Amino acid sequence: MPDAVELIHVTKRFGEVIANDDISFTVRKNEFFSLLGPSGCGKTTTLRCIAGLQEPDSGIIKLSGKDVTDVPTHKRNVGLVFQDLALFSHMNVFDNIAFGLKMKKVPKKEIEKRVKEMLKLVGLEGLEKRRIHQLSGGQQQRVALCRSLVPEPDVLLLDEPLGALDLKIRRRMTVELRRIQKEVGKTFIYVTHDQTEAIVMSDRIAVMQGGKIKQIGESREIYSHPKNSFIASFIGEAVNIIKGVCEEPGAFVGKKLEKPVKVEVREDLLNTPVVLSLRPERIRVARKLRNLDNILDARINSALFKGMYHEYEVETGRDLMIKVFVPYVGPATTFQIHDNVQIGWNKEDTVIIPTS
Amino acid sequence: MAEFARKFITTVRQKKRLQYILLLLPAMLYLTIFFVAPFVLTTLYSFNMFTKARQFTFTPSFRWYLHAFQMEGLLTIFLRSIGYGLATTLLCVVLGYPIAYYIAVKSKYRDVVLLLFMVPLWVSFLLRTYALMGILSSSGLLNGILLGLRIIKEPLEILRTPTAVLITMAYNYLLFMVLPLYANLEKLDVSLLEAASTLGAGKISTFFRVILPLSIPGIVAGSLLVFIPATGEFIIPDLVGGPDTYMLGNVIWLVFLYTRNWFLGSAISLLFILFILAIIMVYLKYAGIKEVAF
Amino acid sequence: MKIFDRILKSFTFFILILMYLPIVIMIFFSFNSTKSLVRFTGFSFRWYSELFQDKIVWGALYNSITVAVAVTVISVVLALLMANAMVRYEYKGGSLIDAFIYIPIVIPEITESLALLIFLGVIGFPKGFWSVVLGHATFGATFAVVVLRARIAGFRKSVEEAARTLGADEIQTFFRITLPILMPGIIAAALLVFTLSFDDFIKTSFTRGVGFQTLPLVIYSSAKRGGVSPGLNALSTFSFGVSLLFSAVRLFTLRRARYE
Repeated sequence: MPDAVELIHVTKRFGEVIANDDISFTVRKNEFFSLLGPSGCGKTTTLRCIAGLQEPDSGIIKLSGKDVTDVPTHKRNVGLVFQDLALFSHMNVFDNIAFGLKMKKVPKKEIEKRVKEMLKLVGLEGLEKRRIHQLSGGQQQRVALCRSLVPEPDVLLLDEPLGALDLKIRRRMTVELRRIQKEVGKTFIYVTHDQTEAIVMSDRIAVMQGGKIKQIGESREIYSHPKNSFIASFIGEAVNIIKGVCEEPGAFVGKKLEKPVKVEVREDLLNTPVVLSLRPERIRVARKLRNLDNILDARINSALFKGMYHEYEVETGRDLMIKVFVPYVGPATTFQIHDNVQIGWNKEDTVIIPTS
Repeated sequence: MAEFARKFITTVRQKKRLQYILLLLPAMLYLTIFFVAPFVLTTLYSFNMFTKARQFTFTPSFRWYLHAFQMEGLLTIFLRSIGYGLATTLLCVVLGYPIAYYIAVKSKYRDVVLLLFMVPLWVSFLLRTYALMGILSSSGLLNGILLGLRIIKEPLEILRTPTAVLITMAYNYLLFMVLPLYANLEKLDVSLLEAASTLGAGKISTFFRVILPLSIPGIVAGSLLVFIPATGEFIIPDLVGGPDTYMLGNVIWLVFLYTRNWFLGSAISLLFILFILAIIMVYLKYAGIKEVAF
Repeated sequence: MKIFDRILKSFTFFILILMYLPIVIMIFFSFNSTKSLVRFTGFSFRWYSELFQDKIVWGALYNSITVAVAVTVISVVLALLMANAMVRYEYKGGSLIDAFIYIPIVIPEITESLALLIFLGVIGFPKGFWSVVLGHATFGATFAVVVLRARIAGFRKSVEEAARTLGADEIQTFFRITLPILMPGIIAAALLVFTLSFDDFIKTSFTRGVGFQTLPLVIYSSAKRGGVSPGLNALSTFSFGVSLLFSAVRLFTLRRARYE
């Protein structure tokens, strides 16, 4: 079965800026694939190239195995949900959703059937005659989704569609989108700068920075084994980054550390400037710790209660600040500022990665 | 043939620049032919580069310009036009500023009042002038009232006097001053006024030191919108004025349509256009400086 | 400073009344049963019925309308293309094109008109209906561009791109999506151009040749010859009525569009 989408050495420039720098990746059929990265990393450009709204300067774009680099947008059979939704304000809900089918010259009765089915799928039955400005933000969202799904495109592209929504609705739509994708059984390519969304929804994520793809993989993989410190900081709520070097396999030394830390490190990274990436939730905190690869003395510098967990900042070593997340399960896990504690973790809780 | 069409469409699709040019072409072509070319021809005529039979000849000369300068009364008329232009502008500022100020700052029903003022604008210039003629004529309303109230014994001959011209000019052009002024005053930040009063400025000081200086761009814009057309005005002196109120527009009209001297007419026109361009240049320079000052 | 405010308000409304007075009087006395412009002796349609029996008036009206329609069509089409280009593609030719748009608006009509007269004379273009139309369309197109540009700038390109991803080619996108959304702006521009052309006097008088009359021309020559009269009042009122109608419609179209 050919891949749903394939990009081969795609490059796109806008004047001096290289928006896409030799991008290559494949998206499998029925996969929920995310392009994740900060603003300006080129993810939207990539999406638009796939849609045909932008022409790459070089490279090949394939859809379902066919080379579509020279094919105009309206013949590519891709769906695109725009950031500003781009709903047709002069048509009602039904006509908006039916538009793609009209273009394909589908008979009227069939159009009615399919539009109604789609409305049911997203929970908008009965709103066919409404005009766009009469709908709420979340409803407009779903209409935009229906409109692009109903003509049964080979791939559905989504360009940060949840940006304009309130936080709570956004979180709910994240789950909704995933459900719809699975139910409809289509390939989704999702562009976002919000890593929480990407992690929750995607089968695989491609992290982009400066026009290049830095890492592709499943969420868990990228989260626990980021390939460089940029990705480590970008993904996840927080991460501790400690600069240093591994002079011998298994030991990491840093200016701010009093003694070496036990780690696992790749041979090719020995004796090169690296960082130690340590997730706050992987660190244990207690007055006294035992049976861990690494145990350090520390002092609580600040404490923020966040409901589900405490966010502590502890000072250790030589002026080194470490963030720790401790699930809140009672007074045993609560510490005060200036408390002397110990923090600890095992080798597999950290990753040694090159500086990006 | 179909192959060529298909190739053409694909190329157009791909080249954004080509699309841009194709879209722009019809209008630009039209304007070039029917706007730019005529002015070029006018310039050529003013420099005597045509024959009486309307053939192009390369015989540039300043003779028509000289003729214009030596024309009896042309300088007078030119100065008169400027005079009327300035007087109208001044009248419009004096009358228009309070109105614009009221609507922008004090009025509760801005949109409605503004709309009420705009409705007379929908009546064409010609009709407005004619309507005013009706009131000012010796058998018209103004005289009727004055006679009826026995303020005067005989009808005033207002038509065909400079007064009539001025009144009609102000009447027609008032709105061209009010609207830009209103736009300017409307954008005035109320907090500036409040700041001034917390700093001890009374209403009069606030007006002269804060509001007036800030409304100068509006006054300038309005003045431009009034002065330039007013100086070139033709209908008003023709209908409500007399031969001794004739302005530049009338001269051009007469030279062209009566004596049919395209050469002289072009020369005069060109002088007029240069004059206007000069004013616009000054304005642009002034506007540029104002931007920096802010 | 309540007194000051009151003075301002009174002044404003005083001037407002003065603005309306001539027009109202003109309309009022067009219904007068006698020739007087001072005393209203009785309500009568006689001047209007005389008007409508005047063949010259009908001819001029017909010309004014047909010219205005032709000018509107040409201007709006040209302007639509041009405004489209200017808003979508931000190219550096911008200031040159801006000059093309704003110079015709600033240049006094009389200089523009005589220049066109010369041009038409040199190339030997016959004077009549088309010379008038072509002359009007120059300022018509530029005014229309200004109106349309304002409307198009608020137009989001993404709607067109959405249509393309849904299978519409360029032509389908234009007629099904772009045009309907821009329609209020197009109508506003069209109505403005129609009014400008219908009311135009100066350019028409230069470019019309012999025998071709429009309503403003008839009004002018009557005013020149006979001065003010109720008959002319009637004609003027009628002409005003037409312009008023179009301007009012334009206003309502714009108002409605704002709620979309």
